[in-house]
Amino acid sequence: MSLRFTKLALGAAMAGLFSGSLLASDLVITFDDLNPDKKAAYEAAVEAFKAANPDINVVANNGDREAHKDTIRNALQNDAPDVITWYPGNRMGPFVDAGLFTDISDLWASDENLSSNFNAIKPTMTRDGKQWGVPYSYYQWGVYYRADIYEKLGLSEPKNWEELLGNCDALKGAGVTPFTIGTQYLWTAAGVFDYLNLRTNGYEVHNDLTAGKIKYTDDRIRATFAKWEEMLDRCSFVSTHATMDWQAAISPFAKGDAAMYVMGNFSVGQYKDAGLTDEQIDFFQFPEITAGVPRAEEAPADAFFIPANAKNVENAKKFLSFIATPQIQGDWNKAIGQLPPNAAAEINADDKFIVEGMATLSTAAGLAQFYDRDAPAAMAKAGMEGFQKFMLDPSALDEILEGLDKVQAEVY
Amino acid sequence: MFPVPIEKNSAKAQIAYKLALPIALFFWLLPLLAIFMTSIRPVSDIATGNVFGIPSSFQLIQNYSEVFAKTEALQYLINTLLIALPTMVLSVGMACLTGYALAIYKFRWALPLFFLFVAGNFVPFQILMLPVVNISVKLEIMNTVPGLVMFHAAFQLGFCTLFMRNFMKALPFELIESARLEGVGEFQIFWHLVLPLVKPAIAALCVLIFTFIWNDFFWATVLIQEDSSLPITVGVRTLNGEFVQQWHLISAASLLAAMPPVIMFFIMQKHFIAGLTLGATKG
Amino acid sequence: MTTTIANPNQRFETSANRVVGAGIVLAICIFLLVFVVNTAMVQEMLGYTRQITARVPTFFIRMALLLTAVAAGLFMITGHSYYKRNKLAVTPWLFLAVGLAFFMVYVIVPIFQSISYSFTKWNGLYDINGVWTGKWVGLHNYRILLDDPNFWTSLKNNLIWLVLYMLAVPIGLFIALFLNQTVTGIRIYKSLFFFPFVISQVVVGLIFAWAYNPEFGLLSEVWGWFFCEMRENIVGNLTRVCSVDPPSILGDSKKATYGIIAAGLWPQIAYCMILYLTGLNNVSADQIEAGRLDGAKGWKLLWHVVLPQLKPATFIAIVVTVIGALRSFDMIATMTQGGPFGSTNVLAFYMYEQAVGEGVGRYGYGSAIATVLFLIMLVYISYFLWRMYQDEKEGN
Repeated sequence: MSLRFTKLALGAAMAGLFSGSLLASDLVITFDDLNPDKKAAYEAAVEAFKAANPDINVVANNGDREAHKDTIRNALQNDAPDVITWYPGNRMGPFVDAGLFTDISDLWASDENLSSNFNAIKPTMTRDGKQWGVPYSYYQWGVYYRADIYEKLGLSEPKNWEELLGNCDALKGAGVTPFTIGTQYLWTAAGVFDYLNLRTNGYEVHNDLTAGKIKYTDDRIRATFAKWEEMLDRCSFVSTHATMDWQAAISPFAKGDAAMYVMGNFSVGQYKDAGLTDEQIDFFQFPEITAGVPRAEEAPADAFFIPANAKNVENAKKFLSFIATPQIQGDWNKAIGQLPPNAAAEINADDKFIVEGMATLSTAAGLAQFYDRDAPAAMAKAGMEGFQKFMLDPSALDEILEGLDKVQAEVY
Repeated sequence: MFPVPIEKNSAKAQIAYKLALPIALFFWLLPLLAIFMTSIRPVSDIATGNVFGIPSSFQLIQNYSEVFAKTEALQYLINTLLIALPTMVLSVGMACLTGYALAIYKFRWALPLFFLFVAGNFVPFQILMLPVVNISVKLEIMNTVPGLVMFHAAFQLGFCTLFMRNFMKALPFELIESARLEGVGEFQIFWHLVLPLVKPAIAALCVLIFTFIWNDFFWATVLIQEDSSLPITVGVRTLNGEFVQQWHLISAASLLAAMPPVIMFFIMQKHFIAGLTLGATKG
Repeated sequence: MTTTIANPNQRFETSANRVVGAGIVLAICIFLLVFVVNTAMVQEMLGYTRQITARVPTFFIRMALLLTAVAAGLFMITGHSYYKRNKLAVTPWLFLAVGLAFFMVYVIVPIFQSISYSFTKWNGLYDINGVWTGKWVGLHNYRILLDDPNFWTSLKNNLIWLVLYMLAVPIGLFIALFLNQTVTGIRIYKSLFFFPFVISQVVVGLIFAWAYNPEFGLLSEVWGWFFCEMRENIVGNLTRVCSVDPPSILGDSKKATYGIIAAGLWPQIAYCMILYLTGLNNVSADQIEAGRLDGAKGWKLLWHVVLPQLKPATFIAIVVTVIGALRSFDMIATMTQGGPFGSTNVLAFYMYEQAVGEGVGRYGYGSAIATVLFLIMLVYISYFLWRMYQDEKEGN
């Protein structure tokens, strides 16, 4: 006890030497994106918050995204900020389970905007029946394609599996590889798998799979892989995909050697950097496979959380309410070219991909977070390696699925 | 000494040998030459498939300055220096002390402790990784340059001690004996008598450690994620992700990363090789 | 041999002032270090906002305190009569203190910690009160390991690495013999041949990844001369069409490991070469002459006369090559990240991936892999130490 006192006294003496007393009401925020537009949008939102709450002394930190994935562990356990960015779905699971995030169900219940405008995304923010964070942005996935090549061959956007396969035949006939992909870093293949599974079996089954309730050797999952095999056969992918990352895979797409790309909307800027114009590229929702399965979509979200160690929880909640408002959500996502999770927010009507994305997501029957966020990290790693292996050698399917079952049994 | 000295062979054989040398060297360094040629090409050459031929224009300065302008390369280089130099000083400095203790004093623990240092020097990095991360977190130096320096200095101490101890063991012990008899203190003997004698070893070790640390990749990835503290080896790999398919820039950045140890090697060649091969001629 | 060489003028008295004074400084330093200085305090003191910016200044304050403490400790001990009486027994420990403590904390103790982690299931997190969130599972991780195809792939690849990496030794010897002449400029040739060793493995990996690239690498260029032509595609861009696709070395699970090893051999051969070049310098001319007189030539001379004299160089070359092979990580991380689908994993990389890669966080499982790798390495370490021990015995 006397030790503690000495420590305090010394600390106070030293602190007094160097700085004045701190403001009574602080808010420390940690964000994780240094990309110029993302950073600017975040800073703009913080400025707006400061203007609305002049009594709060806001400290806004920002760091590299990849680094954040590692430093967050440390930050949550030691000197935690009051608000921190992280991913919803299963990615937040370990931190929730270790008691490192604050339960904000009360905020979701009491804030009218949160309780009414976020219905589509609420399930992914929920774990153990409680809500843990507030999303500020998400984006759609789907098929980006070369509209000019489609037009040249007289093709139209496929509505179902058969039409897609038909398009592929026509493209191959013209010497164009139907799909480009770069699986060097594995996750791109998971995008294809997610869609095949969502369209073959629907959201529930997919969710059960990533939650570890269904085995990979289940007949329903095998049916998904059967479709994938069909796709590999008739809609082939570029042959060197295992040595390319997702950006390198844009090169055959931009050159016109490949016509379609299953990707997220963040890739649009890269297509344009590669020399393609708005007229040359377009977007369609991944086509229906099993008729009657409600259309679910991939929509990875980014969110803010309150660490359990936060010192200014009330201010943190104020901030979360603030960034959930339609105004802020609209401005923020217009600036970064993504979609606001708030259904009442405005979007950028000049960007056809954003408009189409909003239409796609707001009518979706369910939103998946992407395989590597829905499944625990160790499972996702093994799963994605399995997907890549399958793409290179479909005959190894049994071996792959049995291997994944083993990992599943161990991880969950 | 072996094989037969070429001077004793026929004139033809001598000419053949002198011709074979540059040809062999050319193939040996081909990958490096190719990457250098790529680093001075305009991007259009690579797109049109001119990988081997004469560059359509020489862009040595443009490409390299573009690397500095577009990326944090300069910061990465500075970080690497901030990591390599203190590590070098710390580990070589400590090794002078430990090596001295283990070489000069005859106590029961001298050999076991020496073997401990040697063995530690050879362990796989992965067995240390998680605990070292935890220590760094506890000491609040995770993700900082000093954090990486502390670990490197400790780990390199194994090799440095091996080196220093063997070097000091070869010193004439009578010198120290007679100094003791004259009543010179133990620390004075170390400072005034032994240190000046091991200067060559210190030089050799410094060059080696600098190169090892400069080229370290694993520990930098494990202990540093913050972009502003990354060394160049990890930086180059991140650039690889940023400069998608701009191979002229990637190769320029790679060569930049390789340059300092190469320069160091050519300047300090004698010490470098002496350090590397210390064990190869005896014991 | 620990006879104290007593100097008749030496006095064995404790300098009380010195001991007490230094003792007080030492105590204060330790107190400050343990109970006062931490990032939060420094943050407040320097007016930083929360977050890691204050870590480096904290570190320097701590280091300054630590150094003062060490100096004070040294001062205290050397002032005591006990030290003066037992100089030769105590001094080595004073010289060792800092280095040994360092080495223990960062190298020796972690080995045992890692081994203990391998008996747990843990994702690396502590809860909000700093309580460990893992649980003890005994040998469970090792049992899983035996049933994990990726582990066996990694182990197999480690063996392939070990075997093929050994090629560096004879090739290095061959090049050393080739270069072991005295013609003008040979020194420059030697250094240029040694060159690849100085370059970081990451850069070597990048160079070879580029050379292997099936689209525009060196290899595919050469391939293109024979099998490919440029054609216009549907939108009028020139594109390369090959009658036989160029080999995708790093994208093919059967070739990728060999591709990486080939890249790794490049600097390793250079290393072995320099070891042998130095060794050759010390080969005794008399013995070679004697061998020649006995009629030994070429291979025979090499095998029976020269190689025995190069034994120390061979030994070191083998040791560094084995260690290099088992440590292979950088190249795999730059060239394939263990892919395609884990086929180029080695234990070192697989461990990293399982423990921390992309937030996987299987600390226990990763530690089990590391322990296996450690045990393999231990075989070589023991052999090396045994050899050293033999030499030491001879030497003394």
